[in-house]
Amino acid sequence: MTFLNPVLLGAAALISIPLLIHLLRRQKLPVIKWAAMEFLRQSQSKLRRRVRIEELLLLLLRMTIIALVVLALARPVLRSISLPIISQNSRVYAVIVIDNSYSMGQSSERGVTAWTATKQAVHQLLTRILRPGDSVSVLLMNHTVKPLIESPTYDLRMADAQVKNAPLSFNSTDFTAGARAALALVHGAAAPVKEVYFFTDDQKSGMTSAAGQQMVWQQLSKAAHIVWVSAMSQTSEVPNLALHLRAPSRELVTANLPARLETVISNYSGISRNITLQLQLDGAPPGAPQSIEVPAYGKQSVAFTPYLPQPGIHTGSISIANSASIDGLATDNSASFVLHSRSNIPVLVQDMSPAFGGSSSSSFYLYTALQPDSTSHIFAPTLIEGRLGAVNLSRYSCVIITGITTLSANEVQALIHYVSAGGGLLIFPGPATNAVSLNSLAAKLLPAKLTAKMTSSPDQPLTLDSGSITDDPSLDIFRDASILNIGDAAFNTYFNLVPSNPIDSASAPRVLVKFSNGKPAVVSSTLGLGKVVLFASTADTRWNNLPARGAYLPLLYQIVTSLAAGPQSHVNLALDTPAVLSLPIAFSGRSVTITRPDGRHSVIPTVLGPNGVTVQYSDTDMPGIYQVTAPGYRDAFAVTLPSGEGDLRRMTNTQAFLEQEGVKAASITVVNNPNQLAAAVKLSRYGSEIWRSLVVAAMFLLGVESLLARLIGRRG
Amino acid sequence: MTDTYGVQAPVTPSSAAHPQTLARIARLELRARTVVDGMLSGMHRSPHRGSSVEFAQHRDYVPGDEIRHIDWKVYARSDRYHIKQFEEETNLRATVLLDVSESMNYRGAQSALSKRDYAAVCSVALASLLIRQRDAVALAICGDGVEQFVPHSSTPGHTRTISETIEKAKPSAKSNLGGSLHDLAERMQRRGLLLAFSDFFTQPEDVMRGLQHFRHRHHEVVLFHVLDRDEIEFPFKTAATFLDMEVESAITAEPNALRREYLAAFGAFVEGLKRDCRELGMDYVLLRTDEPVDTTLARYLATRMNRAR
Repeated sequence: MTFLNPVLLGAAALISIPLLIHLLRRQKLPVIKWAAMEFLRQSQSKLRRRVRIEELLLLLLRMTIIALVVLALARPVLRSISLPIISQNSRVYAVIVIDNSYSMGQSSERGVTAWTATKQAVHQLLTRILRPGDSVSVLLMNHTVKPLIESPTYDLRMADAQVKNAPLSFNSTDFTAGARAALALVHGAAAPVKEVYFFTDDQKSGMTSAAGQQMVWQQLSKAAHIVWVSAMSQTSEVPNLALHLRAPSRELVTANLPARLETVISNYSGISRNITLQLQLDGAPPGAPQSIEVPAYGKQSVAFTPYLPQPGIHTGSISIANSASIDGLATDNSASFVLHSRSNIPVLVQDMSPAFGGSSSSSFYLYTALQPDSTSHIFAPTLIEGRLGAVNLSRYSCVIITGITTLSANEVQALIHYVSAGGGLLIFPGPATNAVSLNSLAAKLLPAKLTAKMTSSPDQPLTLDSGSITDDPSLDIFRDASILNIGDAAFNTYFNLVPSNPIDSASAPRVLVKFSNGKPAVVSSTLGLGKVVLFASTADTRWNNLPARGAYLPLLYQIVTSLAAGPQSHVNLALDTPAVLSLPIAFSGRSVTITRPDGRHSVIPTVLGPNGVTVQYSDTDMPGIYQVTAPGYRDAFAVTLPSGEGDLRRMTNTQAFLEQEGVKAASITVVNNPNQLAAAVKLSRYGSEIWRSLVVAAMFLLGVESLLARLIGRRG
Repeated sequence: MTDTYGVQAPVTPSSAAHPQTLARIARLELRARTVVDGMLSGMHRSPHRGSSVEFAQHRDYVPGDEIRHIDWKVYARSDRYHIKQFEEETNLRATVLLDVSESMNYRGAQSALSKRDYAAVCSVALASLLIRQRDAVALAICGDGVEQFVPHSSTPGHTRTISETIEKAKPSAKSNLGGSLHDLAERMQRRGLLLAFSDFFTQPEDVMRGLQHFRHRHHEVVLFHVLDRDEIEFPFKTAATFLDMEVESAITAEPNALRREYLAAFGAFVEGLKRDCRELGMDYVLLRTDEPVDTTLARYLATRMNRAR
């Protein structure tokens, strides 16, 4: 048995109180001169033995009651049966999983942030709870897990110092990722006692429902004891407003093609809020702020569509202007972006099966769409018919091949080179398409194989399924069919596209849109720094009536601008996504300076490879604008926060929550107040508290004492 | 005894005879007179009066004897005071036995008089009643033995003699009531009445043997069992040390725990005494010191009168 409050054992001296009362009562007895002594003697001799036993019994009862109360106050813990007795002195291997998601920046009730409170709790664990000879590993957990100390170390001081300097990330939480990483560590450890400590703000959104999640938690709870320490001991929710900027649907715009910046405002509080949003572009607000009412625990989208008439690189931000006093977390109140503007976008339209007669030509609709009138300066299309020949593809931001028949080996080689360097290629098949030849010669270029040509019944034509649109920023605007409906076009003929086997996960083909029968309608893949998009049907009205529908033009614009953005298509990056920048060939062998949002600089050498001159930068762990400079060169990219982390609502019952994941109650210790960590760890190591039983026993004995005293007349 | 006492049952007891009232009167004789006056206020005298003028014997003069009964001729011869006694001078020769052992000094918190004081008032009151009827009354102060003896006399001043003797009697540390009874029985040559006032806290067998001695000589015996309320009810609540009033011993006890056993033992003692009295043809009268003296005595006298009829 051990005690969580051993200091209170000193109160055991209270046991002497009944003894003192007993003695004092004996000393203070009144004296009565008595005549009828003989009868008292007779009675006394009968009673003497009984009285002595009763008095002793009462004395023992009273002393026992006090002893029980004192023991209960000292919170004794009985060693659990599941742990061997020797475990008390066994070496402990502790895996410390620290939640460093940016929600940990919220204020806790003790006036410090959850992050500071967590560091203090970890310090307590490393300096007071774990003993010399125990070993630790430390993991920093957000949506991924970064080991701070991976190999178990016995140097607890060093671990403490490292934790003190650990940075807060700008990522969201994923508890299961932490559990998985901890499981990998405890599996290989040989220590007799294994403990996994989670230090977190209990964010509910951190418990995602990933596949195999339950198995991870079950295995972890079998392999180690889980101690869950909440840095937020307060019970009330912290209200928060969060702004999330979706990746711009086009990062490349022209003077006449506005940018579209769509933000989602989340109100994580129980009261409806009127939110004011301010757009900043190149350091100045281009217009008046926008206001919007966001319901309690609701979301609202707000879009800004600024024009960027000046060609070049533009940076800016959107922020919540009136978040003061209702915001638990300032980090997610603004988001930055980078846009590229050109005077126009040069596009090459190659019609491989031209037909005479205007509208019957495959390129007619494309060309008309790209340049509807002479005043439109968004695209600068160039039309060629037949083969590519010796066209300098590098002059075009996007190449569209319509009515493709087949490609020669040289053409394939030229196109692969063009796309790898950052170009965009859009391919439409036609009646003259030689699928067999194309599949054979252009397998490296095409994102999918064109197999059988399919025809649908005229009575039941196929349509495009807007619900199947993948998470591609360029196609986001088509998700809501009430605004732009791509589902009203009928398709009677198409090629059955079978996505190619990927070389690696990054270049894996993606089905952007499907037909209503589930077959791929548009497939894309990356190749080097560029992208290839393949349609299953024609760009004219021979196999479908899409060109006659209202969605044709915006669909084409979105895909072409996305493809034309080329290497700049990733200047608005998610956190921790590596930035790959393409530079002119003249920068081969030179370096660029990347200035982070916090002002730190990195000098990165350029690399000359098959994709041209590039710079890769992986340290994108902070939201904001990253400036890329070199003599005679300037570029920028933006990193945005992940959405969802601003929801500061916590798991109301962590224990129950983990039990739902298959964790046995005996394998978890939930500590809601970091100050109680030491007591809770003792409890988890040595068994269960028995103070309640002691109090019940004391109450029962008190009743017995009261009854007995009344029965034998000791209350007088 | 009805004709002897010549009294009838009181109509109501006198509040003046309540122990608390009596306790305020210092002199025993006055206390007794208060009781007697109270009793007689509701009674009428008996028409029968006994008288005799035949000389019977001489006896020594004791203070209180009327001077006119001194035999001056004897004094002239022997230079000593002798009193002339006459045959049938009294109707009855009563002997009052008063136990003055230490235990009789007990006075409970609820009682105004100690047992001894209460018994003294009763005995003097009865003696007074008897003397008023010209019955001869003797007094025996008993402790370790018969410590003082006032011979029989029926003179009006004898009441004062008895009361003064009682007042002056010192308490006896020890009690030997059995021995005293035997001694007294030997002294009483003629048939008479024994009025014994005691708590009888001594060996019951000894007491009974002494009383049997009296019955054997055809004396009439009345036992006045003087008890305090505390002794009858044992009302103590808190633990206490009980110190023996006669011998050096003490008992520490929890009264609540002890009460049942005590009351049982005490009840057995009283019942045993009553039973023995019945068997020996003696009267048993319980005198509770918290009850009015005249009430108790009158009740007893009324009982006797009813029985005589």
